[in-house]
Amino acid sequence: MTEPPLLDVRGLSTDYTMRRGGRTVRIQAVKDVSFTLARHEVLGIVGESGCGKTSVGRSIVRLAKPHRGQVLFAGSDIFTTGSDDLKKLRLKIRMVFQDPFASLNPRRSIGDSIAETGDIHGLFDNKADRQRQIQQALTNVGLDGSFAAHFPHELSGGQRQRVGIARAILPAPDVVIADEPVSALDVSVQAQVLNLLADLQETMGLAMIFISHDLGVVGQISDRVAVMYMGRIVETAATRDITDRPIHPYTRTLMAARPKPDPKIRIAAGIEIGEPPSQFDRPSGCPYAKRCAIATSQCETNDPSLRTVAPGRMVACHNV
Amino acid sequence: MLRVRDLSISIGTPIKPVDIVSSVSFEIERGEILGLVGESGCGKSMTSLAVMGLLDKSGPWVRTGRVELSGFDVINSQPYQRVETGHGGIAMIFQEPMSSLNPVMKVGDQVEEAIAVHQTTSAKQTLEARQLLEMVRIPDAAMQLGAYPHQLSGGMRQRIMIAIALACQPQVLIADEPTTALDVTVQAQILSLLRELCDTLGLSILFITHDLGVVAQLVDRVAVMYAGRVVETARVEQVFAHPAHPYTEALISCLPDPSHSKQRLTTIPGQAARPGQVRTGCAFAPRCRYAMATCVDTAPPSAQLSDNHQALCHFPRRGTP
Repeated sequence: MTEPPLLDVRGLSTDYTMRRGGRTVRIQAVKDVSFTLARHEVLGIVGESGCGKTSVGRSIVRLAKPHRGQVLFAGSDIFTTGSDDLKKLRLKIRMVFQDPFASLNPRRSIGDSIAETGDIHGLFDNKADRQRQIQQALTNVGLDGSFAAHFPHELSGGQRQRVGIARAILPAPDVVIADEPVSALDVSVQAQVLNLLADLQETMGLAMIFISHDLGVVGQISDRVAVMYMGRIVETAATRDITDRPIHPYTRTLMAARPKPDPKIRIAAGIEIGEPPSQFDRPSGCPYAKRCAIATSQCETNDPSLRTVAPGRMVACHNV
Repeated sequence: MLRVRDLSISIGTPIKPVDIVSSVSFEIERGEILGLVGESGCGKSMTSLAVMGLLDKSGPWVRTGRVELSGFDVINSQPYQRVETGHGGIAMIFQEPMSSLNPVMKVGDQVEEAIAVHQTTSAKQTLEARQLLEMVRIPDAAMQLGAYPHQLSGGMRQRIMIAIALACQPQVLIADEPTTALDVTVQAQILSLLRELCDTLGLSILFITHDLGVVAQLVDRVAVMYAGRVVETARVEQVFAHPAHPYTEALISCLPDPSHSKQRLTTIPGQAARPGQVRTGCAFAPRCRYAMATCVDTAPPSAQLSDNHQALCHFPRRGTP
């Protein structure tokens, strides 16, 4: 009997209800998403805004409650976990947010922000131990210990994101969910933070879910990538397969649209690849059919489900 | 078309000014796209505001330098003089179209507002607005005139902004990070539209961005800014093939490459220098892997590497990096 995966997401669906034009409308933000995450593995989730990638991340830390589906952490369902176990779970699955300006309390010192989890969960033996652990967390993310006494406004964006990471890794978690952790940063800082995350993942043996809209960034850090479109995973494969040999037409479009730092590949006038349809009138068939170059009549009516096309590789498309 | 000469922008008191943009010079030819590249706080947006003539004495002000649009002095003239002499021609679009558009006004009316400057009858305004929307490739242009900004996607909103910018037939369009808030697929379409406008209308574009991928695909020439100064200017091919300034070289090497996954990225040690920080020598010296004692002591000269290729460096990289 093999060990269960660290994280097993099964048939996750999240709906939001919204009032629009006097009517209540249901939006399927996440639709039947399943994946597993092994120990020490980095899974990248990539997709455009509104594709549901953030909702998936938030569901795993129970910040959003899905309508259907399960999230199993080390074999037990996190949505049926009692409050005591949930507290423990909160130390095992940690989150790093996109906006390091919004996710730190401006009136709390960096040290206190980092230690907050430890304070709540009683992780510190005494004041000296608390201080030591704060210093250790800061050192781990490449910041000087003196930052503990500073406040968020005194830090640059990159430094704040390092604090966000320090806060996440303080209780030595098993899983870190990083939701667009570098999109608010400049390229040179982005590279530093990506390297830091990769180093921590390596040294602490973390499993990580790395959520981003940027295939370049996702590809850099992930072992495996899941591409999402309108709430569904449309392709999942090893990183190299996604970047070098994308199969799903949407993955191909994403790869092609990514600006490559090579002046030999110039943008042409007259590119028309459309935009995702509105969440309010979701097509009945494949949601990508309208933009797809290889769509056939069955794509208009039947929503394709994920199927295995090669070992470790799944695609949701009728025509590949 | 557009010439910027020795532009310095200062904050502080006139007696003790602190330069946040120092001696910036560049020019853009007709139908050309110049990419102004740099990281947050390097002074690129401040430069664009000066070029628009939007800086006055109440905030950062233009201490020295000239901005000329077809020979017309933009900085030392009032907006009405520019309109009267037919030199109104610089328009601007911004990063977040939602915060630039009026949320309670139909987009058609917002386009017509700009057209009203030169077109007085309402019917003609509406006609021109529809034509502009078609020019920026908004589907169902006639219908979309009646839409409010919140009913449009981010990409469509940015197209509306471009339509408004084009309403008075500008010679120069300043685009300040116009695609940073957009998804890659939408970004590709907006960039493609800008390229098309450049080619068909002979529009000159000052494209401000931090994204070197976008630079490589779109612009013709590049000016790299660091700490308030232009540190390298060159044609886009030269910048990527033979970056001369160590900062440019470092920026390019920081880019993630999805086909080399799981490899460490090159980083630039230290933190970006803030413009206005008092220093002698080269602002990049503390982070530069090639820095010598001279770099810390003496301000770097402008080195001419070839035609149209300059770098502000004591020891510019020559040949392949």
